[in-house]
Amino acid sequence: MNHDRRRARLILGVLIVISLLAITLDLRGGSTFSGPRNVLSSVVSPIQRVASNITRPIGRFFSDLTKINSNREKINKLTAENRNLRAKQFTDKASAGNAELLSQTLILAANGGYRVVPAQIISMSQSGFSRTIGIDVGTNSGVKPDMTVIAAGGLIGRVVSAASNSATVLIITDESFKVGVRLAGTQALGVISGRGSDVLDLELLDAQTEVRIGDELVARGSVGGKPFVPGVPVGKVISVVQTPGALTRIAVVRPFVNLATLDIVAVVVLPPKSDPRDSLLPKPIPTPTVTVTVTAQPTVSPTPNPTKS
Amino acid sequence: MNNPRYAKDAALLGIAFVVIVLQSSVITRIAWPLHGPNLILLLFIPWVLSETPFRAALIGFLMGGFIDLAPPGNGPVGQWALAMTLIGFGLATYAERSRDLVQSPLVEVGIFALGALALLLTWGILGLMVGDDRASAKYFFQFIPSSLLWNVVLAPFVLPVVRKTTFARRVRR
Repeated sequence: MNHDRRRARLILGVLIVISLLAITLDLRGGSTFSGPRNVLSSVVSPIQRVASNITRPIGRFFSDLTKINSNREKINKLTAENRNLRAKQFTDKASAGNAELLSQTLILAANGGYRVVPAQIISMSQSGFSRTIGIDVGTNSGVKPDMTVIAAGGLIGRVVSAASNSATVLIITDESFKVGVRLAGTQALGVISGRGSDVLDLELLDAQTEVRIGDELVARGSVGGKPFVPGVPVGKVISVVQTPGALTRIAVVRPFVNLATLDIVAVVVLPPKSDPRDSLLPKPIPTPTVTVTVTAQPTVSPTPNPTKS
Repeated sequence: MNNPRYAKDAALLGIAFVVIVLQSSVITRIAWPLHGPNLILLLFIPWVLSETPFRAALIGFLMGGFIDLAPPGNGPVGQWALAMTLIGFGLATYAERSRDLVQSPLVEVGIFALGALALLLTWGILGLMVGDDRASAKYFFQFIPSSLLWNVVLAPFVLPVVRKTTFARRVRR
């Protein structure tokens, strides 16, 4: 018996030492055991594969059994969801247009590096031409007064007041609305002011500046991005008022944002790290000017006619 | 030490290895509530309780080494081997001193539960010592209790079977 006990203690000691040695060797990160592991893996893996193939249906049965209640709940939930989705499909068709507007707005924000909170217009001031709009986001979403509001195309206005879940936006066409702008591609500065109609007045600070129809304007940006972040497209010059002798130049501007279809806007809660300059201006604008030069060709083609006659 | 005895030992070890493979390829693949049973514990603990300390330590080392090296294992090799060697030796020593082990099924299940707890804790503590991520708080406070619960529920059915398979060879003074 004594001999047995001594033998048992000896084997215990030996096995402990071997185990500790193995742990130490393995922890040192060598590949000591990759050989035995690979051999064992190639022996055991096929068995495991077969075993799990054979018993998978059983396993599924058991796991289904344990989930039988939650499965029933899931069916109920999906049925209800299906019903809701079917009802929603109708309203979704209407909001597909909104999605398009929203995606355009978000693309604009992403290109400019603005962090925005998307918002739905929930009210408009009814007095004649709408000058303020109510949106469905407020201080809870980080919206504060004097933040820039953009929509598909460009600048739409600035936040004048914000409640917890709604805010009021003064829109660009209001008579009290003023925004500093820069003539795209130049350094010429100006001020745009609303005039209560669907076009805006542009006043260029330097009377020597050349301004032509079709020139585009971007927001100059205010200090700290309040109330205007830099680079937001504002509008396009549609006519230039000749004022000889005046200290400033006057032009009429049509905003990029289509105020008639306005439904989705986005509030810029964080200005971009760097001024996006002119990069946000609508890209397709040059394409029509190209087609204009193409249509000019037919007027060239009649010239052979006189030589014939 | 005659030939048939070695043959039986080899057969039992073979069964143990198959059980280890089944545990990793079948049992753990089933989505049990509360982690599910552990066949390795259900086989190992009653087996070593019916062995001499010498043989129990060897059985623990071989089974543990197999767990360490068999495919899903990725922890330090030797962690299971050391834990099962220690617990095998300890349980067998305890069983040898108290001969009334199987007098009552309740006592048998109780000792099985303590042995299982000791093994899981030893493995976890070794894991903590060598910095094994698997020995987490979740292992100690979620896996061990739920694993014990499952195994204790199954123990009354499984232990007698294991005992009958291995007990016949029990070396008694």
